[in-house]
Amino acid sequence: MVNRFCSHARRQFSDLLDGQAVPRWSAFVARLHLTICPQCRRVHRSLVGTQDALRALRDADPELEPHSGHRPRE
Amino acid sequence: MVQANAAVIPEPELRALEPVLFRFALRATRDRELSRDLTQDALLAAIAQASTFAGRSAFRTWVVGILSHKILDHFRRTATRALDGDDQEDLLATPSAADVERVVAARQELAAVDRALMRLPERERLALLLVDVEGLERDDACRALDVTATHLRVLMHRARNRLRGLLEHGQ
Repeated sequence: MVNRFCSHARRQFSDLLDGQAVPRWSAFVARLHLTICPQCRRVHRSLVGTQDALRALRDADPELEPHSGHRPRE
Repeated sequence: MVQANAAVIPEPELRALEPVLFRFALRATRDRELSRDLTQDALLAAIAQASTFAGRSAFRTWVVGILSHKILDHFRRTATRALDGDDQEDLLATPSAADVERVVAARQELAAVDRALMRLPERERLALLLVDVEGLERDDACRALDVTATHLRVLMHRARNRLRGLLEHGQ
């Protein structure tokens, strides 16, 4: 069950991942919520995994499917 | 050495950047031919504007910023429809434990990450490429995307959660 505390916390995760300045109270509430909500811990872990996977792309050649999303040039 | 105005850029440094820029452009546009053109445009612009490189950021960061502007110009010219359906409930959905494991495993299967990345709206994809793939600071990414810090914050929030959803469902 996602409640308003979950929604609030999940909106902060992206900024917290980047070490961005989040209002102190918001950051505190989000971190506290993470300690008690296993569902939000899963969201947070998934976001960390997403960011980790993106970082791994840095020096890897893109693996594109043939014609995937190709748009004709104008 | 390649000389532009008073500034000089070591040629090996430019050559080393070419594959970096091509990969970036290809991930952003999905078009090899276009990516080659954009890469050359960005390198030529870097040479022409070398005297304006202030050294506040790494040279790679600076040239990637130039390339981002070229890509944005292309997006504006072709004016593709943005897939900006912003369903906050979907973006904030709770994954199952198995979904999370799929995301963690994506680190080992980069093709899946590339495929998911391609499904994001253009600006969100570009924001992720700059911040998470290239590792730009948010200030530099804002300049590269011509957006405010608040706008970038929203782009990153949406893009990461949308990508998370795609990886969780193994698409």
